[in-house]
Amino acid sequence: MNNIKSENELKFYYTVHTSLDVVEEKIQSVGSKSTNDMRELYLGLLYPTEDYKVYGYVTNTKIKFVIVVESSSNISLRDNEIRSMFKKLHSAYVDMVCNPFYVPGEQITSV
Amino acid sequence: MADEVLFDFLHMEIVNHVCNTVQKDEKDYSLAKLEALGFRVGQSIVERITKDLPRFKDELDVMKFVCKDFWTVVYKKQVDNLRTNHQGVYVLQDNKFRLLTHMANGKQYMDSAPKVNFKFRFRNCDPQTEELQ
Repeated sequence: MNNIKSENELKFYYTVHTSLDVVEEKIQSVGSKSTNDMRELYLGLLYPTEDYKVYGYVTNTKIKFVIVVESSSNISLRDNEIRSMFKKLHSAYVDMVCNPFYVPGEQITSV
Repeated sequence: MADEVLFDFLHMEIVNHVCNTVQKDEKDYSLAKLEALGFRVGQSIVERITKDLPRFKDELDVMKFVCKDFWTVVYKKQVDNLRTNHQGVYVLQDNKFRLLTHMANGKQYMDSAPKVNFKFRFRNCDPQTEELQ
């Protein structure tokens, strides 16, 4: 949640929290359909709003990552770019969990 | 291999240290402390080895992962036998459990046995299980 102005903070929290419902839906469909393409950790575009696009990713340990991208900007990101972004985020998270000083569940801040 | 021996000694010393530092009347506390230690270590390991695996379909898929991949990483072998009653109870049987095979098998320290690993607690919990592998 870096680079957020404080007046927008609540809005971002709202966006991220509502996206968790979509994440939940997508995960439940994995068990029932058992299609191969849904077994990827990356969930794809969750939903687009007027200003933002929300992408989701859930690890095997049920840790959820959500990336919110401004959609009004001219830069349109490809799916693969988002995917590699999540992979990097996941790697960073794994390194963080393996840090003995980190207590799981606590807030992670980047420099 | 040398690093395996190092791990074994470290593991033994940690168990020894935790058991000796708690008071005599707090026996459960030493178990809880060891369990918390193990949980934290396991959490890190699992987070790392599930990183590039496809999503698990169901509970059975998770158990298969524990028996095959996880056991191979931690204990250098697979689980010998996995049983379930299809109601959420799983029994894992390892006939050559690595942390126990180096120990003398006398009965002197039988009451300390759960301190080595909690796995053996739920071994006899349900005899009505059906073999999977």
